[in-house]
Amino acid sequence: MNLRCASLLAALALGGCFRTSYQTALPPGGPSHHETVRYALWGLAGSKDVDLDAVCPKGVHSFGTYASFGDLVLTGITLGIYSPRTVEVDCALEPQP
Amino acid sequence: MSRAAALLVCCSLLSGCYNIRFHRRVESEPAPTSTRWHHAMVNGVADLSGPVKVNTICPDGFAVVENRVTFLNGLANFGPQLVLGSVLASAAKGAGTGAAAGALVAQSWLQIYTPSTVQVTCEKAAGGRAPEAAKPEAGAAPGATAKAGPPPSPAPKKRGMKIAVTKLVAKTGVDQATADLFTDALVGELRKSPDVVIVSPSDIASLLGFDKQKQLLGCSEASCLAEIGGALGAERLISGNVGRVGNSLMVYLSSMDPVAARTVTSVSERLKSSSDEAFLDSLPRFAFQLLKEPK
Repeated sequence: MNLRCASLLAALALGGCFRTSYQTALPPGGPSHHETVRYALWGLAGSKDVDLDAVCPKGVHSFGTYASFGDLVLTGITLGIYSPRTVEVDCALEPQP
Repeated sequence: MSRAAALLVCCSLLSGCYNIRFHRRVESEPAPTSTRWHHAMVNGVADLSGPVKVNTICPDGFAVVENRVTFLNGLANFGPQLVLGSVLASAAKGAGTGAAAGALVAQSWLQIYTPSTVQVTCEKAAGGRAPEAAKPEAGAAPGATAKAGPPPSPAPKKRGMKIAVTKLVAKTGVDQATADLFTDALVGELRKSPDVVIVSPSDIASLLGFDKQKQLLGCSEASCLAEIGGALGAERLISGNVGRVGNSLMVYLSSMDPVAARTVTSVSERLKSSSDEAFLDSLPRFAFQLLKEPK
């Protein structure tokens, strides 16, 4: 039982949860961009608009959101009053000149 | 119970929770192209739906992707939480206050089913970049790499574009058998793109007659390649050569428009490696560059 709990905690801590990701056909290898999105009251208040062309002028390989371990801790200790999520954008490999 | 109930209430009050929108600076279709549920279990650790492949939904490019937890998502989350609550309550019954408190905490923070709704809106078919794209990068998010305005993004080819690939010509230091293997690997890499139909050299051999094949063998001039491309009905013709100078592999690949008899895009690279594997390692980049066309 302890092992199961530890595995679950490790998964929460390392992999992040509430992950929704999107993939394009462009190849990986460009810079990555991470940003915290601030929500309040279990996500009721707050929203975010991400300009992918500003983050990755050469194109996007993948993007999405997840709750990192830090996000979960903050959500837990504030009982969901502050419930952040993390935005992750991986840019596509830049074509060589 | 309390967290699930709060989620349900907040999602019923507003259009959704955890609203997030990703957009590109292109004109979008007036209505979402796809609206689907994203299924996840155990606080979202188990992502049952997996990554959303936006290029499959929008072969010609996406404009907007939105994700939120809607009222129906909240309702679907609430049902299993009620069951979990009753199971935990019955298990903790008579086991003391500590067990009851533990059950309440577990029920509050363990979300069994955590769906959300994903909306994808494709790029307008005949649209170009929105006027916003011409503005300077004043509002660029942290991590933006361009200092000046954004360069034109790769324009996805129209779905089903026919691209013929001729055998790469072996130059000094590389034998033709190796060049043929490079050609096969390049064809395989290009075929990973769902938006194009790749005609391999063996397909070309079976499509063209013996005379045309003979002509193709000595073909390197643009006009000659254009004729071959025209005979195949291909909209692009990829050709090139590979050779070795010292410890460098010299690669030249070009994609030409047979109708206009002009090179649309090309790759010219020196791969500093004594191993031929450097070519294979660079294939995804080569394919990306060959399929990329300025708008």
